[in-house]
Amino acid sequence: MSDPTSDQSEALIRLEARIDALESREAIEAFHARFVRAVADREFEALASYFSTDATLDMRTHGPKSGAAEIAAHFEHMVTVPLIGAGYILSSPDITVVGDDADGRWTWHRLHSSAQIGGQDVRVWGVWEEGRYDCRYRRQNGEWKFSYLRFRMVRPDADPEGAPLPPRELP
Amino acid sequence: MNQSEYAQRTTDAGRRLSLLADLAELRDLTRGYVRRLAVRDWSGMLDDFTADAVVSIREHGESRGRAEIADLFERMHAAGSPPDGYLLTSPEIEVSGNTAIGIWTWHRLFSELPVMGGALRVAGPWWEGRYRIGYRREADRWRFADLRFRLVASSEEAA
Repeated sequence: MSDPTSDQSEALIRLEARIDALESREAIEAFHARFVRAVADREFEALASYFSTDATLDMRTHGPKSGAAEIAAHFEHMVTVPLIGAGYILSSPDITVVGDDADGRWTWHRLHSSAQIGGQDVRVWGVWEEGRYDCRYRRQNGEWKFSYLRFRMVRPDADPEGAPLPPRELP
Repeated sequence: MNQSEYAQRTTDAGRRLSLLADLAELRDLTRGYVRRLAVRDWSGMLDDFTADAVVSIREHGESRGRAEIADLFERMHAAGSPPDGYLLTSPEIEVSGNTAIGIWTWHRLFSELPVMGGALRVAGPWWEGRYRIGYRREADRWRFADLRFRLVASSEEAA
């Protein structure tokens, strides 16, 4: 059998790039689902490992935290947040992959089952919140991680917008 | 690119596409199962399980093989068919040859509360559960080989 023509080689290279983009989308969606499940299960000590070492975490009104130490400290403080018994739904992923970088937007819902009233946990049904993840992901050593995570509650009561996602630095 | 490298990369591309197709098939299998479970449509459901499958749903204990799984579905069917809503989200599936493991988040949104002599329309209560599923590829398609389900919120059950 003879060597492939340049057209055949280029077609294979294009196909490989499309397969890589699909594989990356699959990997990123599973990665973000795992992260939200870990948050729901209050595995706070593991959460910093989902971020690249130079990542930025911008959660609601807490202000941007950059780097592994600041991000780990943020999650350590979450241990004291008494929210338990809530349900979390992650949906509507919109992922764009460009090589070893990707952008992602997700819708998030939290379903509450209790509220603190007068220092007591009281069963309350029907209360929900909707949030929005705007994320950047980066692949390092074959593993996708967050390089920027921005989260805002959007409904029924929206968080202040704060800083927008910074423009992507093109290589 | 020479012929040998071209052949190798073409084979590799085929393998990677096959894996992506497996993931799509496993998602469809699981979503279809939960959709039919929601409307208590058992027809053909047993064919989604391998002959030696194990099912462990909440407090019902383990059911082994299609006969025991059929019995489990019958018992669940007898519990009624409330008009509740079901969400199956956040799949995390890892394929390894002819087997795969999948973890899913599940929500049930209740619409009725049982009361003496009937049901009262009520909105708000929900449950969150987790599926951990072992899949096996058989000659014609993927099937469930080990399906485990537990509630995790709003009240938590033992694993």
